[in-house]
Amino acid sequence: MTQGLLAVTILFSSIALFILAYNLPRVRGLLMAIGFYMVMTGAFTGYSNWLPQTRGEVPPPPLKMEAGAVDSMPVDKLADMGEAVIFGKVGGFAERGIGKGQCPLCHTFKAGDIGDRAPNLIGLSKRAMERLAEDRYKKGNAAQPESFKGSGRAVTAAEYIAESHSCPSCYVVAGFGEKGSNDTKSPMPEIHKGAIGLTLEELIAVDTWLYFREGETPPPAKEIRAAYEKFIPEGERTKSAPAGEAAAPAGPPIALAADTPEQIVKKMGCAACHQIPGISIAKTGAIGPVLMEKVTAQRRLSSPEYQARVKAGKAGAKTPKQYVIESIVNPSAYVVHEFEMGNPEKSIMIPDFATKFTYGALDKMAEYLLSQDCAAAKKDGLNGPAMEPVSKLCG
Amino acid sequence: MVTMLIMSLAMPFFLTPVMAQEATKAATEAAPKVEMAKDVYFKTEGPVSGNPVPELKAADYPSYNLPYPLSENRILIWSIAQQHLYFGSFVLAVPIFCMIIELVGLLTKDPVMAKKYDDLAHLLVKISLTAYSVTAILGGLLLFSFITLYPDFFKYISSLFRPVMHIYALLFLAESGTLYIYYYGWDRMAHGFAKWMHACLGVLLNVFGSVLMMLANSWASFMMSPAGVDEQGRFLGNIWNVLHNALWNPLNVHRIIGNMVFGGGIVAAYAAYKFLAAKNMEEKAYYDWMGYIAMFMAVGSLIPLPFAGYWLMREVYGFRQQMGITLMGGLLAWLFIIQAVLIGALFFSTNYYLFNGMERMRGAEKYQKYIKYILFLTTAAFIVWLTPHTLVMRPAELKAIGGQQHPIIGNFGVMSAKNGAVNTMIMTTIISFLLYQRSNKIITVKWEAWGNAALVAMFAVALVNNWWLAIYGYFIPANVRVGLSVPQVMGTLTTLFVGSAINIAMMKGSKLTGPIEWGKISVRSQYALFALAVSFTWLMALMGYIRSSVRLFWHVMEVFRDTSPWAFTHTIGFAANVMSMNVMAFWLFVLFVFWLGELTSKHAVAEARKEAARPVMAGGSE
Repeated sequence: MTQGLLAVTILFSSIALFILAYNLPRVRGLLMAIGFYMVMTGAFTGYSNWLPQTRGEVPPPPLKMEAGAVDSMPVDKLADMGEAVIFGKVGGFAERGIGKGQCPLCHTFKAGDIGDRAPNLIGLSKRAMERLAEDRYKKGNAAQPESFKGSGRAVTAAEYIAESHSCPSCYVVAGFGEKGSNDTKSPMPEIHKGAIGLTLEELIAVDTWLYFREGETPPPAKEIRAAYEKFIPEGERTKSAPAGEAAAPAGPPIALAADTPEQIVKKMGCAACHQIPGISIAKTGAIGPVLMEKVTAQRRLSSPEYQARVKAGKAGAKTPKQYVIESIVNPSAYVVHEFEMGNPEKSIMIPDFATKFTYGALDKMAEYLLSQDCAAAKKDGLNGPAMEPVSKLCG
Repeated sequence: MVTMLIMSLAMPFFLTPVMAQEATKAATEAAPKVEMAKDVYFKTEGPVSGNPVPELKAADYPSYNLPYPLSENRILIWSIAQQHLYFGSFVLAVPIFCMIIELVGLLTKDPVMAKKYDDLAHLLVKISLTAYSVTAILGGLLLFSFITLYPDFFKYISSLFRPVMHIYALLFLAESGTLYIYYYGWDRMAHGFAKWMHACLGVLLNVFGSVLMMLANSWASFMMSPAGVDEQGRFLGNIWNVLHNALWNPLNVHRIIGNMVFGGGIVAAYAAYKFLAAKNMEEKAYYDWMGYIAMFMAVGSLIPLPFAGYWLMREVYGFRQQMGITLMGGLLAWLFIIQAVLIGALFFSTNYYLFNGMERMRGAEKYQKYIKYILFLTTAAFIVWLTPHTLVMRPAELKAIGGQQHPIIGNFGVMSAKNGAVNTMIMTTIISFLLYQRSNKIITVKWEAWGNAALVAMFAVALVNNWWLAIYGYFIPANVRVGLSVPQVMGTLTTLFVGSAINIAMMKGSKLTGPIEWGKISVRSQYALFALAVSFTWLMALMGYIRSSVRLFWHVMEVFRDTSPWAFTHTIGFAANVMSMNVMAFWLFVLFVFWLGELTSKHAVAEARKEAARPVMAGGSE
């Protein structure tokens, strides 16, 4: 809504200019010309703001899972994962969404849909064996004989699909090659690397969905994995992030000095674990302490446990503000005893907020938290987590 | 000669990495083996001669603590780059116009008209002189912004384009020197052989300007379609491969033509403003004539622009199909609908101006009855032109429409219909121009009936051919359909060139029903020139944004990922707001530049204005 205000402002300004022009004959020409420019600019701006507004998000980082984790996953769950990779979410097929794999940009998936740019993938699992039997497949593509030297060619349906994904030019369906290439070069990118960069787990999930959605029993995940390993050399495989490891920064969000404390909390997801007085979305977190630092910061700082961490060279805050900032950017510097979760050396809090806050945002957030006390917590009706309830802190 | 000079200057830079490699080879067999890697685009092997792209985190993008949206570095870069490109386009386009107008003046036999053209060219180059300084200042600002806001990215790009950047700087020097000699030598080189030498300087100025622009284009096109590097972004020793990437040439052609359209639009707006502010009939006549010439050049350049755009888009699809689909049927598709609206505004403004222009000629009444048909055809084509194809829609919208495309009007969304529509709009504009040309004339050639019949038949055949091919395109595969654009374009160009030739031949020896009464055009028509200028400016901002944002979350497509906190693609509305702010800022700058030009140009044009009131024939030639 506020985004559209600029167009309105420009248009109203142009009206003001026309009125001025009417009353100031000496500069009428100039004001009328500027006014006219603003009318047109305002019209284009307004039209653009009236159209559907879609933000193009950065694709999520590779799924967090151990290598081989999909091997034991139930088939329906794996197929769901595949649907999400292709269409953006479970149920995305019906809505013709576009997911990380970007497949629907070129391929069609429903009976009767015409794929001008790439084949319709319905019945692929059955058609794969027919393709393998074709003379063109057997003869091979001189321009790209195999995925990599010594990889060999596909002999099963699962291998055919894996080969098509990892080496699209190894065999190009007649009529779908790049113009002038006589179907020896595919316009399809290698989806296991580059812009799309699907991991082996995601590729296995995609292939499983291709079978599963047609009521067929997909090959076991291990078999599909072996097929991909046949065509993708070790060095070219996109790795899944190990479970528990923080995902690579996907770009936004980042806390900025211009943000309000509420916006920072929302962007950084603090409310998932903490209750924070004065923040409307932070009323239920029960994993971390209540953040009323006016009450707790000095207390923690003076505690023998904290001073022990200072002596050990793990922590170094001298003022409550330093303590709050340290707790955000280096949560393992000192873990409040009640929240140790079995390991006093390592906080369970996300460790990379140092890369997600600007200095100004950190300063602002620390100031805000240091202004929160028992009265504010009680006013918001916060109880705090069971490990350290508000009643214990505030008496 | 010039090319040889440039090449001899350039050779040491270009050959350095390759020679280094040769030297390494020749030096010793025992030297460590050079790592070879495959070019991401050309697929050839080359020696690894550079570092891979850096792996950046969000914190590697130093930013100012400015209020949103200025907190995003890219908004600052976007705005500065846009202003630099606006002025750059203007100062590249104006010398092209000056060169043409000066040559026209040289070739015109009537000394009064020759002087009139010469003075106009001189005035234009004077206006562009201040703009040239502004361009350089903005270029410096852009450079510092890149260094400070995107240090790692700039380090990488400059490591690849190091020699190109130096040649760029040298060419900039050469262009500045030529420009100053061209401008300050105008009066000294006004006659005889010296005048021809001066015209040659104009050509040289444009050669330098065009090469300069092409080198800068290579940086932008490399970011879209990288070449000469491997998958890790490592330079493979051949700078020509980096430069000569897939989209470089289409972008060069598109930008040169686009600059001419844009430059013409600005000059037309200048003339329109001066017309409105004119205090006497002499001034009105002069600026009316100037506006017409500028509009003629802008629209003349606009006609081939869609074809250059089509080529660029075809190469985008050729480079990476997903990129093309993101543009035309994916996330950025709505931006093309806005583009369609803007192009429609251009064609409507042009036709409206020409219709109004007929009013300054006695005898034009007999052609005014055709205006409604031209308007009808243009409007129908415009509606087809702006109908979208595949859209990013919400699930509820998808359900309501019954799929990605509407069952009926969705048919107008495909490229086949678009080609038919844009060719129709171009042809109706050509018809308007042909009618304008003959507005104040009574044709006297004996073959008048045959000539008219030939013109009518040619347009009828071209239009029917265009529509038929547009319909036929629905029944054939996409890869065959692409080829249909060629006969469609051929038909349109035939009407343009052959139609104009027949029209001019028919007007030979024609009787004038009256002179073109320069200055007696309506005030409304001048607002059509403003509309042209502001639409061009907005269109340029839009297309620049589209070209840049198609990289999505990549600095260099598929090679160097953008990991900044603002790597996502903003909504259309947000982008439009930035574009509008840029457009308004640019026109404020332009007002300043014109005002500066005005301080010194009053005496220079006074004489020309007196001559301008002299009646001339329609068509702009004489």
